[in-house]
Amino acid sequence: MLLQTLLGGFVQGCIYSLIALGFVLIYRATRQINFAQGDLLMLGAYLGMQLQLWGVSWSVALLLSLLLLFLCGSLLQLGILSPLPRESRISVILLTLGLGFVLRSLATMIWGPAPLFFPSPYEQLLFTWQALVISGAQLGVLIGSLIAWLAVWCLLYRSRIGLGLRALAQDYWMAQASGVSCKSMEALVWGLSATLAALGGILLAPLSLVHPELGWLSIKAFAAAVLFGFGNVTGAVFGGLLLGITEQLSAAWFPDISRDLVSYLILLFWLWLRGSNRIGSAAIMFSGKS
Amino acid sequence: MKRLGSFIGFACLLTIPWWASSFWLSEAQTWLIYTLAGLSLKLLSKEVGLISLGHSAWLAIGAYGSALTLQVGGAWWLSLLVGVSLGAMSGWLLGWTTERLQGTSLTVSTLVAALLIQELLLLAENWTGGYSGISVDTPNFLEGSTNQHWGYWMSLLALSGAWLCWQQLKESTIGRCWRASKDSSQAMCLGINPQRARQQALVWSGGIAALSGILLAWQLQYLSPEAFPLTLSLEILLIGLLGSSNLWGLLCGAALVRFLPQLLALVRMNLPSSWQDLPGLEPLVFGLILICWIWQKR
Repeated sequence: MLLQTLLGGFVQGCIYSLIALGFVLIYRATRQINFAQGDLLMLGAYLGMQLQLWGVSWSVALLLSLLLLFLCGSLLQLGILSPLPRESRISVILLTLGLGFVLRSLATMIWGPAPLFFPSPYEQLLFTWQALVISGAQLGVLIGSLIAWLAVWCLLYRSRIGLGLRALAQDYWMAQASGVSCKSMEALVWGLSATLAALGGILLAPLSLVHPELGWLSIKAFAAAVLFGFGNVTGAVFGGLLLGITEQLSAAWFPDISRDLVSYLILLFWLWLRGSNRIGSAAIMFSGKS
Repeated sequence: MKRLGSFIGFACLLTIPWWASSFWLSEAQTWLIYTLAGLSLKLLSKEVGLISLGHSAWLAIGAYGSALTLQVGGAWWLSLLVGVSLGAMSGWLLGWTTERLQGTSLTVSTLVAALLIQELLLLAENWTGGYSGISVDTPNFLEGSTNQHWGYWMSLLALSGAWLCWQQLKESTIGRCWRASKDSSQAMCLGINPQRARQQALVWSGGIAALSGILLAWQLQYLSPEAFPLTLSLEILLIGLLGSSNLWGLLCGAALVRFLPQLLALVRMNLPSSWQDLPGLEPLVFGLILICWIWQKR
C-alpha cells in the first residue's frame, strides 16, 4: 500500500519535475521567468490529441508536437522576447502572463472548455509486480521523464552546446566575448523548455483528461523548482519528485484534509528552514552554489 | 497645474454617484476597490522591491474577518478593525516566517501562503461555509440601493486615505528605512535592520489589502473561496505593475484590468452570431492587448 502511494507520488513528481526543469533552464540561461510554462504544457497535450484525431500514429504525434512546441518556444524568444530590454524582467513576466491568457482562450475557442479524452497506445496496459500495480500511463510517465532527464543532462554536461549554455548562465557578456552565440542559445533554451512542457503534457494527458485549465499545475511546479534554490537543475528534478511524493503521502495519511493543504504547509516550512540556515550539510549538498 | 488636475479628477470621482446609473456606480466602486488592492501591492514592490503573488489571500482574510465579526453581531466599525488587523497580523506573520528569504523564494512563499489560506478557508467549514460560502450582513447604512452612494464614497475615502498615508510614510523615517532596505548590506551599515523594515512594509501592505477585501465583501454581500482565486492575485499584480507609482496610474491600471473585459462583452453583443457564442474571447483580447502594450513600451 505504501509502495503504491509512493509510486503514485513519484509519477506525479515526474510531471512536476519536467515543468520545474523548464522553469529553471530558462531562469539559468536568461534570468527570465516564463509564466506561460503551464500553458505550453496544455498546448502540447492538445496538439498531441489533435494530431492523433487526424489519424497520425501516437509516436509520430508525440514527435511532431514536441517539434512544434520547440519551434513555438524558440520563435517566442527570438521574435517577441529578445527585443525587450535585458534588464526589465518584469516585462517578461507580464508578457508571459498575457501569453498564458491568449493560449488558454485559444484552446477554449478551438477545443471547447470541456475535458477531452487523450488516446494513447498504452492506456489499456496494466502491470502487476507482487502487490504493486502499475498502469501503462504511469509507466509512460516514468520512462518518458527518465529519457528527458538523461537527454537534458547529456545536453548540458556532455555536449558543446551545453558548455555554451553553462557559460551563458554564468555571465552573458563574458560568454559572448568567448564566442558563444548568445541569441541562438537563448532561443534554444526557450525551445527546450517548451519541449519539456509539451512532453509533460502528453505524458500527463492519459492520466488526467485534457482541458484548458491543465496549466495551473505549473504553479506547484514553480514552487517545486524553488525548493532547493531556484536556478539549480538537479534541485528542480528532486524538488518536483519530493513535492509529488509528499502530496500523495499526505493524501494517504490525512484523508480528511485536502492533500494540497499538507503539501503547502510542508513547502512553507521547508522554505522557512532553508531560508534561516537551520539545516546542516544535507541541504547544502543538494542546493550547491545556486 | 498638476495640483489643479488632481483636484478636478478627484471632484469627478466624488460626484460619480449623482450622475452614474446604478450599474456603473457599482462597477466604479469595484474599480476603486481594485485600485486600493493594487496600491497595497505597489507599496510593497516600490518601497521594498518585493513582488507578491498572493495578494488575493490578504483580501480574503480581511473579507472573512469582517464578515464573521458582523455575523456574531459586531458593529461595522469593529468588523473593519478586526479585518484590517487580521490582514496586518498575517503580514507580520509572513514577514516573520520568511525572515531570511530573498527574491524569488520570497515571491514563491507569498504564493504558497495564498494557496494555503484558500485551503484553510475550505477546511474551516463551520465558520466559512466551505464551498457554499456565507452571506455578509452588510452594515445598515450600506443596505439598499439608495445607500449605494455611501458604499462608493466609503471606497473612495479608503483609497484616498491609504494613498495619503503612503505619501506621508514615504517621507518619514519608516519610508526611508524601507527604501534603504532594498540593499540589505547598505541598510545594515546605516544601522537599519532590513528584515524588520520589510516586515513593517508587509504589515502595511497586508492591512491595506485587507481593507480592500472588506470593502469588496460589503459590496458583494456574499463570500466564497471562489471569490478570491489565484487569477485575482494575478489581476492585482497586473494593476500594480501596469500602473505607474502615482494614484492616477494605478487607477488607469485598474480600469484596464477591470473594464476591458466588460467593454469587450458589450462589443461582443454586436458581433455576428457565430462570434457571440465563442467562449474565451475576452481573455484572448485582454492577453493580446497586454502583450502589445508591453511590446510597444520597449
